Amino acid sequence: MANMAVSRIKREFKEVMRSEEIVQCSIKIELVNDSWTELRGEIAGPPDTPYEGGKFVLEIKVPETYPFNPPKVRFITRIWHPNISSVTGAICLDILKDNWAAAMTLRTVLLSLQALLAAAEPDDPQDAVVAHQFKDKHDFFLLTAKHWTNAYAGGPHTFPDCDSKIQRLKDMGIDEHDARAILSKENWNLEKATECLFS
Amino acid sequence: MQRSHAEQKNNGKPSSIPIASLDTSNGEHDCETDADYPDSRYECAICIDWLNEPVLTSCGHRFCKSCLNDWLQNHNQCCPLDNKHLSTDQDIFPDNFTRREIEQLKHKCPNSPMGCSLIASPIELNRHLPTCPYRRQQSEHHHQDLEVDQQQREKCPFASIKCDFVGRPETNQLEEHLKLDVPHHMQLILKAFQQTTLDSWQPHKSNSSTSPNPPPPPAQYANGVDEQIVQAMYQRIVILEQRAREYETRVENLNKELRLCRQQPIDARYSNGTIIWQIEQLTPLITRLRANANNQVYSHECYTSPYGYKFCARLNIQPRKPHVLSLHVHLMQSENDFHLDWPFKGRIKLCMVHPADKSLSQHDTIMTKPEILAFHQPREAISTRGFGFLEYANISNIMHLGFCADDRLLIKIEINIV
Repeated sequence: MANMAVSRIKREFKEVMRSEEIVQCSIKIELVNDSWTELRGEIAGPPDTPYEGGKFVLEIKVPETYPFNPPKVRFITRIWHPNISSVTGAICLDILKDNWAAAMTLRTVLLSLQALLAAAEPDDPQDAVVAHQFKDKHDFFLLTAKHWTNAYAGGPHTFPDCDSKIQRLKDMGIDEHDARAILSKENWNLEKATECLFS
Repeated sequence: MQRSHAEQKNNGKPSSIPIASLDTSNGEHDCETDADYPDSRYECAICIDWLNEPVLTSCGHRFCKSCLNDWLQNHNQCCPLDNKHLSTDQDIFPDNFTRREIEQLKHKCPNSPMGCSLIASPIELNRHLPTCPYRRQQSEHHHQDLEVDQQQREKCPFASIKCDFVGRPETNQLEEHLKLDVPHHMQLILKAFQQTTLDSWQPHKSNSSTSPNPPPPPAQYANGVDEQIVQAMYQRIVILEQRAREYETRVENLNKELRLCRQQPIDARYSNGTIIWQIEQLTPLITRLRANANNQVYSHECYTSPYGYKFCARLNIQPRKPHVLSLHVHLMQSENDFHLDWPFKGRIKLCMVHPADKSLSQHDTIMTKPEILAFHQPREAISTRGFGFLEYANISNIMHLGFCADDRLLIKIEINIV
């Protein structure tokens, strides 16, 4: 790995470690291997959003050309968000693509992602299904996002109705995550979900 | 801009986040203390390090020259901080003011606690650090991580007897400590020794408490005189053990020498005038002797007595008679020649030994005569004149009669003074 990338990541690491956010447990960062090429980030779901109370783990891969090219970031924790793929965790955020600037750091990236959770951009979606729900059935979107936060990120809100519907599909031999995904997509309409699954 | 916020944190008190978990193998850049973090005025936003050859953009941002060049080459021509368009020709100027300001800052080398005395500008220090003779190779850690630091320091070898000295591994502190604190260490040894002897005394006492003559109680032992005796005895034992070991080694070495001596042939001085000449690989030897009349082979030497005449024997083949071996006896110069009677007077017995049947061995005897020059005092190392038989033995006979088992011929020569 290029010398510049390593020394910068080391400095940034310390920056994050000393930042106010880490004291507030709002962002976290840790090493995955010794070569500083791969890191694991964690952001807390911002307050007053469906993600509140959840902890979202991120995979951060640092390219050799860092900081001249952005780090490759994706969500490891599953999340229901218009700009994040509910399947792969891929993120649609301009600063991680064309609008990256060398002056940005891991800390600013994590904070930007936190901001993205608080302010979705449904008109520039990564996950069309979620974006659609966000615009047309916002109540269902909030419910689903909270439910996913509870199921995958340790969020506080439980929805017995959702759980029982998932259980019904599980009883039919469907994998829990697949069941949750299809129900989320079909606005928790069990019949439609079943139809979709078995048609 | 979020950078300035972070800078203030950096200059503040170090947080209590366990940085030991960041342990990695390569630590050149990691020895820096908070003071090494640049002021945001002097920091390049790209490498987050001290501005090296700073340049100023038309939008008012400073970067290292090489960092900004790399950025502009890789990307569209925008400032990394505010996305304003930058033209390489018009919007970027060398910021010599900032360069001088940074050059005037003087910082200690981060390895100064280890003994590096360099004080230089941050840029120079960055260049110096990878080659600093005091740099730590093994792992990174911060100066505030005292616990980790302590473990990495060198402990005194006397630590087990409660010497609590620790030194920096890069320095010779430990060496100096070992030299200077000898009395302290001796005291510690004495204390530890007393402790051990006292401790080891306990079971002995309980064992012998049943015996009619109980040994002196520990209290008595603890009195100064006995203690001194025990100590003296102990030292004596150590010395004796050491000596015993030295002797063992010496005996071993002498044994080795002796074995070596036994392997060597007997000194010619004590051969008593007898040459036992084992000629190995006779066939190739004969071929060689036949090939050239000048080729000859000499036996090892013998003395008639420790202070007597010195002889050797010689084999060759005459070109005119290639089927017979010639055998001659030659006198040799020796340290005894000056006191011996000349010419040599005596009897020479030659015997070609048959390995299987003694009765077949060939015996010849020569008596010396004073007129034969071969028995006069030799003038060369080996007398040029020898005495013996031009036709000593027929080669085909040697082969047929079985003198030459395993291609080996044995000739015994006995020389006696008469």
